[in-house]
Amino acid sequence: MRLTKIVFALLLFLLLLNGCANNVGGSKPSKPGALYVVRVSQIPQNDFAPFQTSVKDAKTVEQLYEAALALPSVPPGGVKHLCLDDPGLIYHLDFRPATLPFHEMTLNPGGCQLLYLGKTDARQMDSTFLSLFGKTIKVSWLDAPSL
Amino acid sequence: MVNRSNPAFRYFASIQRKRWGCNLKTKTSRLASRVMLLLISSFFLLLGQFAANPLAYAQNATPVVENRQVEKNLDCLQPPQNVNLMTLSDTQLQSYGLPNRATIEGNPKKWSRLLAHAKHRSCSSIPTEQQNQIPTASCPAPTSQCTSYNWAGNEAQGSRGTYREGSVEFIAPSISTSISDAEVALWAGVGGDPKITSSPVLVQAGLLIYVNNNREYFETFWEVVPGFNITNLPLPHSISVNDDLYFDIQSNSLTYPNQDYFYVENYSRSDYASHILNTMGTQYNSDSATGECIVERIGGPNGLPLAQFQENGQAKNTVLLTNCGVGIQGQGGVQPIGSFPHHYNVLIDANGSTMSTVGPITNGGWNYTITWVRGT
Repeated sequence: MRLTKIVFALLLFLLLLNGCANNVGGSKPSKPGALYVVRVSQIPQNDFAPFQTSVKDAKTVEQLYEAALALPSVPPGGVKHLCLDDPGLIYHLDFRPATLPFHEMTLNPGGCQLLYLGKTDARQMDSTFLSLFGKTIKVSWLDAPSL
Repeated sequence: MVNRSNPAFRYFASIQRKRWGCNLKTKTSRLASRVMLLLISSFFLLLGQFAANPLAYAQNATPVVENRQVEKNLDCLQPPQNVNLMTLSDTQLQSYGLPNRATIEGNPKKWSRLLAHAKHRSCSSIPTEQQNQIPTASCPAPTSQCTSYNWAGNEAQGSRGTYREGSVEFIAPSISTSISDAEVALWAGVGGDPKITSSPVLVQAGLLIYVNNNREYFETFWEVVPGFNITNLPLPHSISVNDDLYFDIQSNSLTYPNQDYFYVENYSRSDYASHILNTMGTQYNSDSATGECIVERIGGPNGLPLAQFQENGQAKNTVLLTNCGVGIQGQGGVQPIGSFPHHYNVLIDANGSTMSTVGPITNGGWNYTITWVRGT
């Protein structure tokens, strides 16, 4: 009887622990259903033409969101290699619903090609992800800066 | 997180209250055994989670490898000392890691000078850093000033596939060691500018100078971005301030089709090293829409401090890039960067403050200066 109680308590504890671990790892309370994208020129002198679009195909948006979360993190010391030219062109990504753990992202296709989940979680993009991003917004990822 | 109205929780809590009356020794013993059980079960639980998604853990645990060690290569064939290297066949040149005949014949005067000082070869390649021009157009049109978070220098520009070779020469500058993590890279390359083309690929070789334990260190490197992180291309002897350094890269050129070729020479010490990257069937050929000679801040706007550099004999905080040339497909060798449509980049920080400026192109289109303004 006592053993049964211990096992029951242990199971309860493990369930709670599992729940906590999943939250720490970034559980998904809901799936993304839409994406709003705005291109911004951070350096006024370079003057990239403004661009914005929205994607409402839930499957496509979810695929991009999941791919973003799977990108490798940049080590704590930051980028230690040389990079493409960084002319200050970035894309703001706003996934909906806003209750998603990382509904706001910032994508820099130039420079060190980083994607920020939120404000500080930097991820290293690769050509596969950038290609997927281009397909998702139906624009070559740096297409027609139209300076 | 725990729902106290949950029947399971209340049941568990009531058991705990009932047991509160037990003697201390028994209670302590039971507590210890439960803690042990919980620890063991937690271990297996976390182990299970790791097995289910090992990448999520590996990504956080794996640092970027930055090996600055020089690897000795015992099979490194040294060039003959009493032979004019200009007369060697392609096979012989290849065995010594020297540029092939087509490259040499593209600019025999330059290569005669360089090969006369190519005495000591290194074969390692190890993964491991104002006077303004006047813009006359809007960035990135030719002759315009552009602004960058990481590049300062001139870029020849064209359509994809135009520029297949780049070169630069400079005297190794000293840097201030007062900032412990400051770095600067000086290099020649082709491609890599997203202002000019989409899906850029940069092929480059140059010199990284960094501070470590209050000392300055020099490291010659090659890199392909994206694809290969900075890779050490060491010379037989260490580099010192005032050494005369030359860099040449080619990407999918007529003389190096489906290859990236990297060549570095320390003219002052008669040292050289080269590396070939086979690019057949890969995406590691340059986009070749640009050819450039650049001073770079590592990591961009949120990156490392830009080391304060000073070339002996130049104005304060200034280095002179010479023999900055680019080669286009179908022409042998490089021509002065100033002879091609080009723009230049001024380096700024995240707040928009200027970090490095670019001087006017001189010496028939071959030379220009870069001046350090601020480190962060």
